[in-house]
Amino acid sequence: MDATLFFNQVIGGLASGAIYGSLALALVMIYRSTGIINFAQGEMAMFSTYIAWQLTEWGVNIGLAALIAIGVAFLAGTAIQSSIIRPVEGADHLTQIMVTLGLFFILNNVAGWQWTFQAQVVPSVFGDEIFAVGDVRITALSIGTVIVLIAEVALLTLLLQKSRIGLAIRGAVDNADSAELVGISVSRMLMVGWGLAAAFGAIAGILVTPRLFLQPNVMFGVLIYSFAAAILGGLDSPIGAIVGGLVVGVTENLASTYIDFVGGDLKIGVALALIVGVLLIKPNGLFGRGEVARV
Amino acid sequence: MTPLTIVRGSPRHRAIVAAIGAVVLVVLIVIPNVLPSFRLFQVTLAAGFAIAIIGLALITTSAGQISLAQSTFFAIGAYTTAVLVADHGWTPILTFPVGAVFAFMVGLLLGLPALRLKGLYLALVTMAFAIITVPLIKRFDGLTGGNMGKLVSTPDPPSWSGMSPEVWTYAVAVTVATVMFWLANNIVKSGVGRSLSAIRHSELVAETMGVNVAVLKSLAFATSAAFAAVGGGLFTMTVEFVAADSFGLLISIEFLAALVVGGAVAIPGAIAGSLFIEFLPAWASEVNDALAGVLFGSILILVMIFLPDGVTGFIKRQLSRFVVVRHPVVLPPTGDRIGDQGPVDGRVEVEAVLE
Repeated sequence: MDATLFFNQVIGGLASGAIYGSLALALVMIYRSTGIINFAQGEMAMFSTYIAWQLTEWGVNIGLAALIAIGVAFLAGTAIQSSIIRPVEGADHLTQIMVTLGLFFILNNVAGWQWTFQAQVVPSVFGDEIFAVGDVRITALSIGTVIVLIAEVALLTLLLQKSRIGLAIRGAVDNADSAELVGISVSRMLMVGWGLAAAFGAIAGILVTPRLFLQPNVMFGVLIYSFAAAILGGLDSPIGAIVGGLVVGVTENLASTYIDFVGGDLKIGVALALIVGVLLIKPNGLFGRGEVARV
Repeated sequence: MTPLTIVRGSPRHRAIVAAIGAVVLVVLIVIPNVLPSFRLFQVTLAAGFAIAIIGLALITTSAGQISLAQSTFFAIGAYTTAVLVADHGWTPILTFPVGAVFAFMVGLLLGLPALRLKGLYLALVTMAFAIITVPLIKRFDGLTGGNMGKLVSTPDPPSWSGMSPEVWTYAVAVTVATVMFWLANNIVKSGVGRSLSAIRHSELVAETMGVNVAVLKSLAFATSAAFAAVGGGLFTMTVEFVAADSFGLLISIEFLAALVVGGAVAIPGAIAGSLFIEFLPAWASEVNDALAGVLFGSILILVMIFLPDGVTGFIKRQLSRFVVVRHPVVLPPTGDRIGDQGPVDGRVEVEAVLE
C-alpha cells in the first residue's frame, strides 16, 4: 500500500470531514432546539456563500465578505425561524419537513435566478498556499478549515455551557414550559438557535466552495454527507457531529480510493450506507441520547 | 344554519354519489376531445402520478410513515415496463402487474428493516434509498440504457378502439387509475385501514390492541410501492422513453408535496396533487424556470402553514358547514326493525346517546 496516497487521502478526508462536521453541527443545533431536520440547511449555506461571493465581486476583501455573510446568515436564520418555522412548531414531522423542503426550492431557485446556474470561483479565506510534509501535501485551506471547526466547537461549548444566554437556550430546549415560567422567552431562544445554525452553515459553505465551485446545487451533496455525519454522531450531539463529520470524510475518501465498486459515481453511496446502517443498528448514533417517550 | 344531514347509503346519498360519478365520467370523456394533444399528454402523466400518490397516501396519510422512497418504486415500475416492452415486445398494460409485484417484493425487503424506524429517521433512510437509485440505474446501463436512456415505442392501439395513440394511452391511464383508486379506497376502508390508522395515532397503543405493527407497516409500505410501480409503468407508456435522471429524489419530494397540497381527502387529494405537480411547474416555466421552483416552494410552505390538511381538506371543512354525511345508526336487533321508515323517536334518542 502506498503510504503517501493513503496519507493524502486521509488528510483530504479530514478537510472535507471538517466541512461536513460544520454543516452537521448546524443540523444538530436545529434538531436539538426545534426537533426539526432542516432539509434546507445546505441551501441556506449556499445562499450565504453567494452573498460572500457577490461582495468579493464588488471588491470587498474575502475575509470581510465572509464575516458579513455569516452575520447576514445569522439574521436570516432568525427571520426564517420566526416567519415560517414557528407556525409549524407543534405540527407533525411531515408538515415540518415539507416546510423546510419548500424553503429548499425557494432558495435554490432564487439563487439560480439571481446568479445563474453557472459555476463561480470563490476565493479561499486562507489563501492558496500548499505545504508539503515529505510527499504529503496539505493546503492552507485544509488547515484553516480544521482550525475553524475546532473554534466553532469551542465557541459553541462556551456559549451553551458558560453564558447566561446559553443557559437560557438549554432551558428552552430541555423544558419549554418551565423555561417560560422562569421568564425565558422560548421563541426568542429558538430564533437564536436557528440563527447560529445558519451562521455555521454559512461558514461551511464559504470553506467548501473554493474546492467545489459555487453554483446553486453545490450544497446538496455536502448536505447528504452532513446528514451521515450527524446521524453517525447522534442527531442531538454537537460533539458527535464533529466526530461524525471527520469519520465520514475520511471513510468516503478511503472507500473511493480502495474499493473499486465504489469509484467516483457511487461515492455518495458510502454516506448513504452509513445513514442506513447507523439508523438500523444504532439509531441514536455514537454520542446521541436515547429517546424516552411518555405514553 | 344547521347543515343538511345525509345518511350514508340512503337513496339521497346514492343519488348524489351517482351524480358526481356521472359528472366525472362526462369530464373524462370530454377531456381528450377538447384538450390540445400536449395538454392531454400532461393529464395522462398526471394520472400515473396520481396512482403513485394514492399509494403514498396508504403509508403516509393512513399509517403516518414518511417515505421518500416512492421514486425508487416508481423507477422499478417504469423500467420493468421499459424492458419488457422495448426488449421483449410485451403489451404495456400486461407489464404493470409484473412491475407491481416486483416493487412489492423490493418494498417488503427494504421495508422490513427500515420500518422499525419511524418519523424523521424513516424519512432519512428512505431518502437514502431514493438517492442511490439513480447511480444504480446508471450502473446497470446494459439493461436500463443508463444516462442515455431507453426508447420504448409502444404498440399501436387495438383497431377496435378506434382511438388515436394519445387518446388510447389516456384511456388506459384513466382506467388503470380508476381501478387503483378503487383498490386503495377498499384498503383504507377495511380493517387493515383502521389498523394503519391506529398505528398513526400510537404504535404502542396499536400493538396493545393486537395489531402486528411491524408486519402491517411493512405490508403497507410494500403495497404503496406496488402502487408507485403501476404509476411508473404508466409513465413509461406515456412518455415512451426512460432515463436515469428522471427518477431522482426530486420525484419523491414532488409526490410528498402533491400529497400534502392535495390534502386529507384521499382520492380527490391525489388527483388535485398530481395536477398541481404536473401543471404548475409546466406553466410557470413558460415564464421562467426559476419561477416554477419559487412558486412550488412558496405554495408548499403557505399550504403547510395555513391549510395543514391540504386543499381538499379545506374544501371538505367548508362544505361540512352546509352538508354532513354520516353513517347510518345501526341499532341492536330488538325484534322491531326500524329500517327505512324514516326517523322515529327511539332512533333520535339513540343518536343522541351515540354522539
